[in-house]
Amino acid sequence: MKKNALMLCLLLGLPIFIFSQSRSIKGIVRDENKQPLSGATIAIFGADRGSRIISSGIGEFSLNAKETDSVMVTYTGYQQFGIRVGSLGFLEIDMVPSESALQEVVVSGYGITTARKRTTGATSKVDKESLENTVPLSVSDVIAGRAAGVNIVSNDGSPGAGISINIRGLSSITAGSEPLVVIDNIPYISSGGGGVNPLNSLNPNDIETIDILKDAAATALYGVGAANGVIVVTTKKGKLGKPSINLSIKSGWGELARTLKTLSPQEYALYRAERVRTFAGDDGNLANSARFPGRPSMWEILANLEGSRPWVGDPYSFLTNNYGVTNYTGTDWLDVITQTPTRNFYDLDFSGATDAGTSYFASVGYAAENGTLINSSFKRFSTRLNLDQKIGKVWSTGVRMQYSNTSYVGLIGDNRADNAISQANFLNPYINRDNVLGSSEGLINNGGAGAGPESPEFRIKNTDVNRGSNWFSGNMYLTAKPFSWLTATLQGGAITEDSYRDYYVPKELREAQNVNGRADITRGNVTRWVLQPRLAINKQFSNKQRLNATLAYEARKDVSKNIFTRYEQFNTDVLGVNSISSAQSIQSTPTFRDRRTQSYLGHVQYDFNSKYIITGSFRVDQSSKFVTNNTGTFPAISAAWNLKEENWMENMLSSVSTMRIRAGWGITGNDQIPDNSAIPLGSISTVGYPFNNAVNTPITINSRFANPDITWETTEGVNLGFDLGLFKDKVYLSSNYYVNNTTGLLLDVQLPSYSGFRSSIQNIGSLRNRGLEFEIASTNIKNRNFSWTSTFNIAFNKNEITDLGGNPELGFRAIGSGTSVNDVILRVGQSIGIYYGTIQSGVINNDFERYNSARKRQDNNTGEFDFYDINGDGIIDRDEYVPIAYTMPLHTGGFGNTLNYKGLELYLFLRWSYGNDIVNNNINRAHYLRGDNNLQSNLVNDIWTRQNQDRNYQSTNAIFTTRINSLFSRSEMVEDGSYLRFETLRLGYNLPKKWISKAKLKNAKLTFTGQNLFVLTRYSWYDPEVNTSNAVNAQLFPGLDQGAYPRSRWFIFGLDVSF
Amino acid sequence: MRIINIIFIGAFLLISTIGCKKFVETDIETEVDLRTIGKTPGEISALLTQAYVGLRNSNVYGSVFYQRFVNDYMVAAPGTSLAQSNIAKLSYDASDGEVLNIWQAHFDIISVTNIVIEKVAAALEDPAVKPSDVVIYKRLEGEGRFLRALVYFKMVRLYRNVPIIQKFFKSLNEINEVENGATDKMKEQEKAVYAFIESDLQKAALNLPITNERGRPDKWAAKGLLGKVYVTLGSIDKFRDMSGNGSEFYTKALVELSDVIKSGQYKLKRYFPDNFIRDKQHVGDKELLFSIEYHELDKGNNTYGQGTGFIKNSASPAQFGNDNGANGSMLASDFGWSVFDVESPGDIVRRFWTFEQATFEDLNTDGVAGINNSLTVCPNSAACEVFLISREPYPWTRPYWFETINDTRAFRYSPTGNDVASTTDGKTYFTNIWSDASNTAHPGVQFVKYRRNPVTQSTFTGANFDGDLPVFRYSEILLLYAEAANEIVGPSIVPDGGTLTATAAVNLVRDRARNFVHFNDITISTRAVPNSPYIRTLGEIFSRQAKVGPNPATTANAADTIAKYYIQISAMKGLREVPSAPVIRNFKEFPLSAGFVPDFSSSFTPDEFRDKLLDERFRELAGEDNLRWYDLTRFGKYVDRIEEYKDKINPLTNRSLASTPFGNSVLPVPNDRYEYLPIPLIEIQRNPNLKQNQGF
Repeated sequence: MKKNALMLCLLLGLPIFIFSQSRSIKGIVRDENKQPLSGATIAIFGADRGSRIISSGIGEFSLNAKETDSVMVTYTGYQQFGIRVGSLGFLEIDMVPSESALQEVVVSGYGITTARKRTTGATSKVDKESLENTVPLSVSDVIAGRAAGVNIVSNDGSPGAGISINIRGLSSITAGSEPLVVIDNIPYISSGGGGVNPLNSLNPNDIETIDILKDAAATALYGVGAANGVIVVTTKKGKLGKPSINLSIKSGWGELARTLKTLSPQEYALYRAERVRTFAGDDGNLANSARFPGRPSMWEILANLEGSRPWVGDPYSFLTNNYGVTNYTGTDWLDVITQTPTRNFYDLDFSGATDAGTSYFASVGYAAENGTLINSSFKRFSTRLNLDQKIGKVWSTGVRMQYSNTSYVGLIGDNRADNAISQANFLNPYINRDNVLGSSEGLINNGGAGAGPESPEFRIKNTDVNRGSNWFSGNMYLTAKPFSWLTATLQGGAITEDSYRDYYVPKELREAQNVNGRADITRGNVTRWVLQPRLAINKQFSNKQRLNATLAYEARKDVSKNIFTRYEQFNTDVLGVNSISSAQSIQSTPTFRDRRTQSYLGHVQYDFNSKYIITGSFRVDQSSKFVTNNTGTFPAISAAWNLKEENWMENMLSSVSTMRIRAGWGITGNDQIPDNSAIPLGSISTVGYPFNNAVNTPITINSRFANPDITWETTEGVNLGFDLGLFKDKVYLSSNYYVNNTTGLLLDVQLPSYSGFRSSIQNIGSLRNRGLEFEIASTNIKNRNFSWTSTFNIAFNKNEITDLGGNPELGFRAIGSGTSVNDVILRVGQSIGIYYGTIQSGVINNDFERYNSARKRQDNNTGEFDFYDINGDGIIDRDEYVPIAYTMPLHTGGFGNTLNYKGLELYLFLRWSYGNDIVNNNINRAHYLRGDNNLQSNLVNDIWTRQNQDRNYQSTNAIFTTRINSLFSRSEMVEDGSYLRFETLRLGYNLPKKWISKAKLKNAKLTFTGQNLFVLTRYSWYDPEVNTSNAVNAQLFPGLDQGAYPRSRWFIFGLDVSF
Repeated sequence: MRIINIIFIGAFLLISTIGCKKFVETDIETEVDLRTIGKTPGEISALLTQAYVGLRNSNVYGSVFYQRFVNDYMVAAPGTSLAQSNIAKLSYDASDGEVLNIWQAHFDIISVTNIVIEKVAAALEDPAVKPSDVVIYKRLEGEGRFLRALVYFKMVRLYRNVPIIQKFFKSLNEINEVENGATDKMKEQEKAVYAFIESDLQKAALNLPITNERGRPDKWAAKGLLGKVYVTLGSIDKFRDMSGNGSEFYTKALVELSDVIKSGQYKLKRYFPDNFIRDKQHVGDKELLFSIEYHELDKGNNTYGQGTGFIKNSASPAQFGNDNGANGSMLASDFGWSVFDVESPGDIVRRFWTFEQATFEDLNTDGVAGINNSLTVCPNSAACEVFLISREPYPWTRPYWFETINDTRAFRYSPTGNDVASTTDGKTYFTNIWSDASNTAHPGVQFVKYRRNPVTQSTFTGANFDGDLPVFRYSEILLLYAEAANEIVGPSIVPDGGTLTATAAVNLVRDRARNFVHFNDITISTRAVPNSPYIRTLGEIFSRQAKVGPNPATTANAADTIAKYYIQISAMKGLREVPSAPVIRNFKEFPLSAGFVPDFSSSFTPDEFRDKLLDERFRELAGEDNLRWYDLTRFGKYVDRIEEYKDKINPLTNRSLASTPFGNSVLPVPNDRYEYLPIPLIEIQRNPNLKQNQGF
């Protein structure tokens, strides 16, 4: 009915308008619950924008209108409302909430916003519910699983863990693949890993919307670095009406979502006793410990402490005196080094807008997490001010300012391959808890001197690690609107961040034993600024044609200065890292980075009657990453056809409310390569050379050859989209098919080493990503008391390397070091993320099998793993390396449901990944049978021994486990990484108005949020969502688990109050 | 109002035009721009220094490189990771990582020398260059060319068919255009490389000063190396390829080597080990023409001693007694130590400074033999038991011991009782000092030339050998001279332009080998060692020395020998009045049965002389830059030698090479291709212009 009224206005409004007289008219705007809506826009149809009125704090307005005018009322989240003035004296306007996704606005940055209905590219929006219903520590937590084709993997479960984001698959091999982040119109050059991730310093509470631009048509506007997609973040703005104050307190605790079962101390002692016997020979004699030949080993005694042994006497004092063991009962190390993690969030904001054209939003937020690991935490304090002011009729201006302070404490994110948790899982339980240098444990080890592992508890408690940053960002704009169709804006912004990292290891720890204590101190500053003048044209030519155009220039600069210093030989450590005045400075390395781009861009959209929409953009970029060929041009064109607007569709398919076809083509560029890759550079060496016994410091030539000819890596993308709305858009489907061809890959290509260089970045090779994405939003039930809405998204992506510059393959190494063979190999015709290794074929159980097994790199022995001899040449060698793990998922997606019953709200969100393998490198540690590792408990009865030759896991003295020169990656390490995660459950209760109004509250809500409540997976380790490679080309090594910090299950209670 | 708007838009357009080409040029603050560096001698010198650093790479003059090239006299200890090396096992092929690593490390240095030579040329073209700078520039160029030649000389002997690279690459095309010789043109390319080396060394000899700073080559180093190149070319021509009599090269060699000898700049040190002892290397007589330098505070960078000396990998004490990670794992083959004990009896100093093993005896007769005892008693008591003994039961190899515990620290990082093991013969062996006596899998005599003795730093850790690594010594000049002279005029005639006969030159080296202690560093103790079976007074020691041993070398002239030892005795007497402290390397006694180092006989035929000289080179130079592998391959007899010794019974041990652990891993298929390395496969894949060597 409302829609028909609108149509009527369109048809009748204009002709009548000429004849009428103006008069003052009043009205009120109300929401569906008859509550006044402040901040709604009221305009007379066809009049210029200057005549718009905003409804007051109590929802009232007044304006001058003729009888023949139509009044249009718009309010975000509500359907547009139109009414003929006629003879009415007072307009009562009851808005109806928007059911159509088409009412949404897509924010593209550069001041460009487009109604969803008019978009021509492929974009996703993180819906409001996701933002409100999760309790995210970081913005990235909100995006994960919510937008089709946006794959966010947090590296692990540590507080404030890093993330990797890729949109529509990996579009690059050795250049960066992170998307561009745009905050309030200002794009920031990606830090390229390890540096400033703007998403981590943002307070999620400050965010109004997140738009994700996925296809080239949408992203070509950004040119630089947009090949990997663009994430556009818009922060909140005050709304007209009475000032609003919101207070939110959330607090909760977590628990390890999963634990691994390892041998109990006694089982462990039995296992070690057995091992001693195995090493001792075939006779199974209890005897033969190294320290007391002919007598039971220490492990035998530990496993049977109660038994009496004549020659031992009191076993406790015997163990202490001879082996240094005081920890007779063993320790559950994981229990010792973990705690119940907690999270606390406090947010306070106030916002509002005045009739004088001022709008403001200010917030203070504090988020803290105490990690699962003792002595680990993350804290963020942030404050924001957003202010907009109109000055007269032409000018307007505003600022967005944020300060945030983040700090991390503890051994998190450092040295992941050997982090404390994975160490603790598999540590000898009998190490003394105060054992630092491992000396007495060494006795346990081998009955003699020598160091074993140190106590992880001691290590964690005594290592002092602090890092963090102070971040300030500010941007300001000044807009002039001299004509109704022309807007000129000058916007500029800067982010500056001071970061620090203090790492102190006292001499009591083995790591710093030889150097008498060590402190690593890093201080850095990053400053980025952006200057962005732009001109926008917004012209309606008739009621059918509209033209939007934007012209902009953009200059960006990103400068960082860093200094790393190392101190050793501490005379005193009473002040920890601050005792450096008593120490020697060992190393001091400054680094400086300077990145710049400048760009010109134009963007045009032509809209005919909302039926045919065509968008074009063109951008010219120059990047300091390149020298001779530094200019890139990035065009894009796209169109949409709203079929449902066609007259001939009017009566067809009445259940269809929206039907659109979209098509787009565009080119984007990527320059995410190390700085100055095109300039031949050297550096001051840290290793000197003495002439006449006086040290001279040389200049070393960088091992990467500076290729002066490199230029942009470009991605040419085609996107076809189809949107369908049914039953007045109660069910809305948006689907996309895309093909992205990346050419001129910025590959770090190995050079012949006679050149004196190791590699050089070259524009070589190409790859393709193809995929399908579906997003469905539906309102399943909606009535007065009960509503149920759902969102669902699923994305399929197929990645294929189409060319490697003539090379059949490129090899990389994810695991191991030194002369280990390449285990990740890129091959033409295959996708990224395939690991290679050997396929185990069980254990060589007996001598018969031994003589019939293929020869390995090391001697074959019974009780060792056998491997499939793929090429049948009788030898197991590098030729037997075949693909063993495919780490790219077949599809990923998310499913959310919101249910409302009166004041109760229930939100459920699940997400999944399907069809991806994980390379579980923990196996190498957990199944390492020669050291003093503890084991996964299910393994122990499977270990081959001479007495039990039918077992399927190799023997404790298999040479293979020594890892020297052995074939490294093997099929045992590969597991299915598919999962379905119950990410969020949130229950909210809005306290009844009659209660809270007494306390003069506008709103009060109690919430409970459960996060990560369960994960369905076959993966055997902590969590299948894992990405722990910290290697140089980390994006090539997805799905690698080498000791990830485990995720917690969270239970968080909250109270939101607004005044 | 409109005007304001227009002004605003004008300003907008103006701001847009700040964009210019310059904006996207970045500043470089913490790195060195190689396009502009090289305007001062200091900058070029800093570049060149990296080439020196490159020499330390373990694949250039490091233990890893060295240990791979096993030969008839030195083998890799079985069971070590080294024994897994495909080069050491002679089972390498073009895809082996070792083959690539060596190639890579050498070309890294060449790249640096190339930029240095180019930057010098550019600097000299500057009309404003200062004359004082010209001298430095020339010297730097000379050093660059010397290093380039030194590295290429290694490369050409290893790979033969190496591409000649003489410019610093500035574009990918230049890199891809590089080529070597076709597979059937290997020898032509080898010749071209030698010509390139020759030209570099000639230019280096012109540009280098007569004396240079310690650690840098001088004119004589360049000329000496050129002489060595010519001798190598001569033996290739005459013996390996049998394409001529080599006289052209030998004659050229004599000119260069004689120049070095006549210059008088270099002398043999009077005590052989002084070349390897940090405090002595650069003191007194100058014997090192070129050495790789290590700074005393920079010990951690020197793993050469760790890798080739007698200490095992002691960086982690847990590694002791553990085969994994044991590094000091070069052993003498049975034939290796017999080169000393049989061919040159009495060559004790060089023998024990090359191959040794340690044990204890109960010298103080308290019933306990071992380090625990000596740890408490030494250094202030006479009753010290730490001493060294060879594993083999030959009387002349027995009695050397060190007196103080400081000496034992020379071998071992913080020794403990666990390093001692009893054996059935009633002796207590110091298991972890030199080689693992308790481990029957490790028979053999470990290579110990780079022992850490004395230790100059009290805080040293196990990984450090803190001496400089000798690359080229004057004794080799004499041996090369002898070789060239013998080929041209035979052993007993002074060649044209020379000053010595071949025999005389060798005998200078052998004469020095007789000196069993450094004259300047001895305090004579008259204290008798209790219960020692050996002669113990000073007079007796030296009168023993003056005698000819039980099986005197055939040509030794007794009177002459006695005269020599009187000189030594008086020298020592002279120093007794000024005792120096602390005393280490205090050899108390000299074996009864020891002969001395007999002179090469002047009656040797040229062929006999050549054979004996080859062994003499090993005795003098084993484990230094002059690998025996080079010596055997330039005569084209490396593979033959291994084959021969594989089954030949050593009369002293009654074993052949094949029956020792070495035999298990060596030469599955004898093939001449094991006298050189293949071009790394990956290099050919990256640049198809490169052709593989024959046989691979």
